[in-house]
Amino acid sequence: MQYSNELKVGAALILSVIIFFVGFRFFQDLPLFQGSYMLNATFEEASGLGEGNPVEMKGVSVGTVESVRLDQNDQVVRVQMRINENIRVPEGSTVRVTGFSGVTGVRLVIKPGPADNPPVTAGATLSPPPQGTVLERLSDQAPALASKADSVLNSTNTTMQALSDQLSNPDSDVRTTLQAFRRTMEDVESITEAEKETIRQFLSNLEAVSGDLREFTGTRGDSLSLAVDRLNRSLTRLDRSLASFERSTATLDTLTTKLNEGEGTMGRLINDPSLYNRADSVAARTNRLLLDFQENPSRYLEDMTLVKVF
Amino acid sequence: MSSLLEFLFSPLRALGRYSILMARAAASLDEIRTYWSNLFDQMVRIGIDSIPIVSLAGAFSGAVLTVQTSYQLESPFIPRSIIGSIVVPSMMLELSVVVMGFILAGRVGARIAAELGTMRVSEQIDALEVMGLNSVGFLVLPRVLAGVLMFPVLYVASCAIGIGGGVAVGHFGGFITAGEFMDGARQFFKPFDPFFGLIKAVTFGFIVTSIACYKGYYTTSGAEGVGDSTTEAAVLSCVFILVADLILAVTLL
Amino acid sequence: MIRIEHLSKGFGSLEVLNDISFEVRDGETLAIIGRSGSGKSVLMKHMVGLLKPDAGHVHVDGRDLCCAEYGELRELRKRFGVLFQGGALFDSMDTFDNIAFPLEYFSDLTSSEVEARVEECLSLVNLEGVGAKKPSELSGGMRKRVALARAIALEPQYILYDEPTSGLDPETSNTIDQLISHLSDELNVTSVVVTHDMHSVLTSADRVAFLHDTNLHWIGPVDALHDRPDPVLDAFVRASEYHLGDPSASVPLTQDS
Ligand SMILES: Nc1ncnc2c1ncn2[C@@H]1O[C@H](COP(=O)(O)OP(=O)(O)OP(=O)(O)O)[C@@H](O)[C@H]1O
Ligand SMILES: [Mg+2]
Repeated sequence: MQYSNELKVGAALILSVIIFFVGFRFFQDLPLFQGSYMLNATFEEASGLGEGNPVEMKGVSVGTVESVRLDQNDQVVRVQMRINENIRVPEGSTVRVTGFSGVTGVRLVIKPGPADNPPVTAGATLSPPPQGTVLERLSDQAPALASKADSVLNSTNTTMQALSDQLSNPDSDVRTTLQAFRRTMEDVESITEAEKETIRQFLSNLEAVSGDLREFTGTRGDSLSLAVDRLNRSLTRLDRSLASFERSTATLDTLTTKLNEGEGTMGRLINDPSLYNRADSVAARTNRLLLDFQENPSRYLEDMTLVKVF
Repeated sequence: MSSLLEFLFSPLRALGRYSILMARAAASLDEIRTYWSNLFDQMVRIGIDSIPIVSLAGAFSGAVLTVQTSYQLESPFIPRSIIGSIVVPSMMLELSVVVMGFILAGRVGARIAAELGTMRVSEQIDALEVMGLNSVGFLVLPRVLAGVLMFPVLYVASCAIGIGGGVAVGHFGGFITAGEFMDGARQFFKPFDPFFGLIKAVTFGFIVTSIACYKGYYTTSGAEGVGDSTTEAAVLSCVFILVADLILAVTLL
Repeated sequence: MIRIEHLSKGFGSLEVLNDISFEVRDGETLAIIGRSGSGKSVLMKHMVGLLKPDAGHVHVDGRDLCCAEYGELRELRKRFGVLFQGGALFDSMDTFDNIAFPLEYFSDLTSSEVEARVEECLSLVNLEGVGAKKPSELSGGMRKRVALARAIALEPQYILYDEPTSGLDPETSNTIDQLISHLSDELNVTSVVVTHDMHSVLTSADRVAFLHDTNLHWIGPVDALHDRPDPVLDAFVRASEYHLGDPSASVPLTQDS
């Protein structure tokens, strides 16, 4: 009797201690039975990243954020992450912070480098992806472009000749090509129009959602309203910029495709001043937009109609 | 006038008597070896025997919380894993431990108060005393210690089974898959949460058992007195669980 | 020796005992008699420090109970065996465990010796073979006798009996009276017997204390009762005698009339 009482109590105590710590490690997302290693990263901005946030690689969770520390000396954020042992991160991988805290949660995303690179060693520091505008990025690749341009110019010479031949021929397909291109541009614009409707729907849906969310503010008010607040900010920003963003990228896309198609098209483009102007202004606009994004996020906050709901 | 003073002072007097009883219990800690078997006996009665009911309550509160959360958050624009990140901390911080506290205020608190009350009115406590035993060390201390030690165990059981119940109902009820649930739970997991739950469990364990011992130990006037003590022990335990819950939340969160 | 000095006790506005002084001498058996509600049980509880006097002192072997530390009080209490009016058996334990309980806590006996001692105590109160029963399965008189067995199990120096024979048939009452005398004579136990049973008083007591109207109305040797020392006491004793209806008990008292 005595003995069995002590046995029962002892068993219950041990069992609950085990359950507690296994559960604890489980929710902390530490691998239960496998090892892990540490990687470091340095950011200008943590964007709400915190301990325990997941680390993903190609959308798969591969570890957790171990610590986030503000380095006062260098004014940067130093982040430590714990990566599951069986995950190989190739050299040349980059890491960035994504996600809005609140709804989807902030997380670190590792963009793996070339698969045949050797894996980084434990304790290595991953760098953020190269930052900057489209044009800055282009200038990063200037040497490569220069050599390409060289060969392009070479072939342009030949093309010019062929071009003048072509242009003198009234049956040439240059005109048709240009018309098709214009039509594409119009399509892109109408798509953006349609997109606006979707965005409006999206926002009105969101308003309904926020009603639901309000019921939770009693218990988890702070974190939820903060989350919705941030969501709002992001969505307003998105709303404003999505249209022009899409237009810009679509145009850019088309342009690059055309550029990549070959010297012939390149020649045609060069001969069409309106297209050139268009490309120029698109690039400039994208540039401005991205700069604005980085420098004045507050401008995108002005129209926070949804926040008034709270 | 004097009855009004009496009315005003009686809570203070009660608090004083309660504190003295607890101090006597603490003072008899060095004799606990003498009452070792009592301690294990009480740990089984208060702890092990309560596991089924506490598990049941935990499972149902976890399940209901999951269903209601998914009902309230039904929207294509909120990832469903959010359900997990609401249910799990709610269970850890509040629901499992408070529901458990209420149930045990009835199950454990009332039992202790009735047991000690009956021992008091049938002079069994006096009989212990005249044998030269320390009745507080013999009766009160093992019960309070057992409460403080076993409530955390019950909390772990209630919480684990509650979260399990939530996952199960979410998964098989088609609200949220187990994977999404756990992803959400891990996303917003704060390491302090389960420890806060443990702190609450210890506090509630002390509240329920000590109030019940106080009420039972100082029972007067027969069967009616035992009835009063039992009711008051259960009611007061619930009230003080709520008060302590608020105080802990304000000071520790 | 238990010495009580100027003891007064009340509950709220009710005064139960007023300025009571007497002593219980070593080795004697003192009977305390008095009306129901006159404070006999209250007085008895003062002797083991279960109640604290409002005024006055209780000395046990020269130690004042009111001023003793709790640890010392517990040591003093170990010299006592107390039979409560209601028995006060632990109803979570069976009869055997009830009697073995003080032995397990306060004696160095092995478990087989404990078993032997429990059987011995049970046979002393005519209750062989009820060891496995719970108190709730016993009759009122049986419970009282089990409680008596528990009180004497440790062979204490002092035994306080609160109505040891109430609720018992005359034959069993006689056995209990003989047991009290036996313990007192053979083992030199000092006894205090609270009782209504004049037969008990006459067979086992050396001295009698009569509580009346909150006071210790009369105290003296049991033989002095024959001399009808006090009209109130006389009325009380006679009432008991008629109530008893036992002609043999009335013989010595009615001799003179
Ligand atoms: N704990 C208590 N609280 C209040 N009053 C009490 C208490 N104990 C005893 N009394 C009162 O003290 C008086 C004496 O009680 P006590 O039990 O000593 O009587 P008694 O002489 O033993 O009577 P009986 O022969 O019926 O047992 C009674 O009037 C009773 O109401
Ligand atoms: Mg009495």
